[in-house]
Amino acid sequence: MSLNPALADVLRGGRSEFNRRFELAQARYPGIEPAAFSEILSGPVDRMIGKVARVDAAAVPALVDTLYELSLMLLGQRWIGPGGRAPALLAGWELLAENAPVLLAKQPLALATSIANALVHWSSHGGGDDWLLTLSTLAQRARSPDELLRAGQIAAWRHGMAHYRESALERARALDGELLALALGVPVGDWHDRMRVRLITDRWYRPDVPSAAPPRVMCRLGAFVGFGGRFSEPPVAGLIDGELILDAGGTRYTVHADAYGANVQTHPDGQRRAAQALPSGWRIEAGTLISPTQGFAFAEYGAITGAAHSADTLLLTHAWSHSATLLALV
Amino acid sequence: MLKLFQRLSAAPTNPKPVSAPRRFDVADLYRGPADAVATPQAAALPLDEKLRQAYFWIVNTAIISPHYDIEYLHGPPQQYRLGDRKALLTLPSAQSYSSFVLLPLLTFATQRKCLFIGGPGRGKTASAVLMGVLAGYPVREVRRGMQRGQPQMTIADLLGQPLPSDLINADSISKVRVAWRSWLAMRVKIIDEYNRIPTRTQSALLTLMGDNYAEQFDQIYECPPAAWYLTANDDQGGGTYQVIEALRDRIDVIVQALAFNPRFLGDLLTRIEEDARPEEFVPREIIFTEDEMRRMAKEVRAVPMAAPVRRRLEFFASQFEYMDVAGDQFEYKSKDTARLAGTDWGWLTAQDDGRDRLKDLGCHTRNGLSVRNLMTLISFAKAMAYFRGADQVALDDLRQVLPFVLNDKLKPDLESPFFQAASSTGFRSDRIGWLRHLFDSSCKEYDRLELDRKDPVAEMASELQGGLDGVEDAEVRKRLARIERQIAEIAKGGKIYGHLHDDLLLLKSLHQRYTNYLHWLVQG
Repeated sequence: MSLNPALADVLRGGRSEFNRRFELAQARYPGIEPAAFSEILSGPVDRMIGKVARVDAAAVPALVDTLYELSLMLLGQRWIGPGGRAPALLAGWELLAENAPVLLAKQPLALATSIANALVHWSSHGGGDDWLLTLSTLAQRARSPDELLRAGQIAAWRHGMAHYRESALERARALDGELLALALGVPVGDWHDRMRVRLITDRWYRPDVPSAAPPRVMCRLGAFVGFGGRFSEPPVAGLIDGELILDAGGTRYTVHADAYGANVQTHPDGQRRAAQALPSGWRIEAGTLISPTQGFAFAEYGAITGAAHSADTLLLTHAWSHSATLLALV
Repeated sequence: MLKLFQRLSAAPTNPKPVSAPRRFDVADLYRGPADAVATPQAAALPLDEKLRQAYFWIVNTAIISPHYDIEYLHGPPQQYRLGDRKALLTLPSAQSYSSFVLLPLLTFATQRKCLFIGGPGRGKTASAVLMGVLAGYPVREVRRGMQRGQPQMTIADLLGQPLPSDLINADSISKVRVAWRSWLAMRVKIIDEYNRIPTRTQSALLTLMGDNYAEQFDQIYECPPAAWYLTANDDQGGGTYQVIEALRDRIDVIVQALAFNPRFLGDLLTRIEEDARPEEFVPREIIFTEDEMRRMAKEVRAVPMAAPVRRRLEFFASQFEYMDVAGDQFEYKSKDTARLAGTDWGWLTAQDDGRDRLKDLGCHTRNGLSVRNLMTLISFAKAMAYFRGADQVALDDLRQVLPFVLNDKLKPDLESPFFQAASSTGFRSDRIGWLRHLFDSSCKEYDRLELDRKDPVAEMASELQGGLDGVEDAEVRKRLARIERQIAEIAKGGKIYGHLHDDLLLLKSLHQRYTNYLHWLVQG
């Protein structure tokens, strides 16, 4: 195994300590294979150390320490390595070293840990590749690790973590306009502070896409468990305390949706409360939803089994489909 | 072999449904498994989880044939009636436990005293040694610190020797220094075969267990809080010496080492072939530091016991002390009065007529419960709830620990009609089953009387607890009249049972408090 001299020096210098940590990890996680760990060390970790060593050689020992410990634990917990549940994690680290070696040298533990945790989240949420791409752009512009992480949070919301909308918007207030524009995929030259305000007030607004007139179908939400979704049976729409709800197989989910995407999160109250409520002037006729201005045909999904709406969103469920339909009302 | 013994159950060992957060925070994006490296303290397991991991490690690795006799149910279980006597075999529908492992662990968590009983070679001493290792002591130190009961054991053997030079040179006894035995400082103390210790040495042990200090030559040694483990092949007087009553009373729980199931002989064989002792391979993750032991005991004490559970315990405890024929004055109508007077028990019970001696739970026992028994019971019920990760003591927690705490404390009257009945034959030797039956019967009676819904005596007590500040004399007279009406109501029922006796004594005390207050109001 040929290692970058910077990494090899640190490993050699702390050989007994690194060996002790490996043995401890093996006792805690009996599944750790030395070969798998060695592959991580000599592959992604080695490349990262090389990139950081070029900009700040003094930061290498702390970075090796961090990556060694994190890799061992994440390998033990089967997030990385053969059959790992978050395979993008190592690529995320490498991307960070490639695009922000100075920031990584400054705060190796905070950055490597945060990115690892974020990619663990993405592994259960689905996706994450687009977020990593945005993060690489942000990494080149961010002036501090904290700024990069904050911009990464906005980008996570933009790439589909709709349940973080409110808290991401709160963080957006304190973020530099250029980084915010990059996080939201808006060309920096096109960014204007009015956009920030409208993002808060209009759920279905995207500064990078021209708005269409409401009402309009925005997306289909959810899928059958066999196809990677969460619903074992077609869900039924409902509304509780102003929150849009989907109920499927006795489990209830809160609907989180906006112009950047939609997802469902488990609702703590498991009672089923279906609804059939439409905005004033709307009606349903044989699988077709009719608004005062236009009709929406959903016959291919079967009868409309539930309808619930908030001030800006209409949620529909269908007899033959495991996906719900979301319409923007504003 | 190391791997075989070092495997721990994955946390959480007793998962519970977790409510989803109602407010999502994007900060959560950067929180996750890797935090364990960034902030190691965040990764430290809560102590109750650590205790559960210790339990599962012992059950899965150290003890070869566990018996799941502490049964928790979550929904109806699968049950079978077996054999000529239609013995009931239950397959518990929730996480259930082995008393032989769990009770010693609860003793460890509460720093109390546990007695292992059972025939030789059933793992009593080995289990006690495991507890010492869990407290962070090397196996060798635990074994050296273990006191082995034997007929020649002196107080000096137990506590320590005076320094020979001081014995010669000292001009007063208080100047004789004592070389205290090192085991006195240990946080887990083990006395093997305690019923082989001579009576005089037992008295020294009593001081140590009861008051947590040792005394020799006017010198005092204060011991740290500790969990105690004692073993005995037979706790019914079969040891070399009769164990003094006060010492027996200091023991908080008794657990029986059940028989080895030969179906597990294969595991035993592996252990022999590998020459492996589980106590030598206890994983570091389940070893408790001194601070953790202290913190855990504090956390256990903080587990609340809600009023409905406490009320059922009150009702249960009320059943046993009352004995109508034992005294003339109302307060002295107790089994303890009869015991102190040395009155013949057979004669007394023969006089006790008019009650259904089969159904009245008070007639099943020769004594009542002491304050110490009740305090121990509450401590272990809290420990049980803590171990299960519950936020408060459930009735089931109380029900499960009760037989192990009251075993040897509540003495059965084997001549009573209940034990003479053919259906109760098994209870003559199965004290755990009998005590559980007692508690279940008490709860049934509590339900029949609908005391959860209407308990006027409790209401009156709570009214007084609200304080007397500003209560006018007219209100006091009204309350006094209500107490008198309640007593008259009980009197109408004719027969008095234990719980009614306690209610009447409480009503009398409330009446007295109001009378004194009224007197003060009127005079003032």
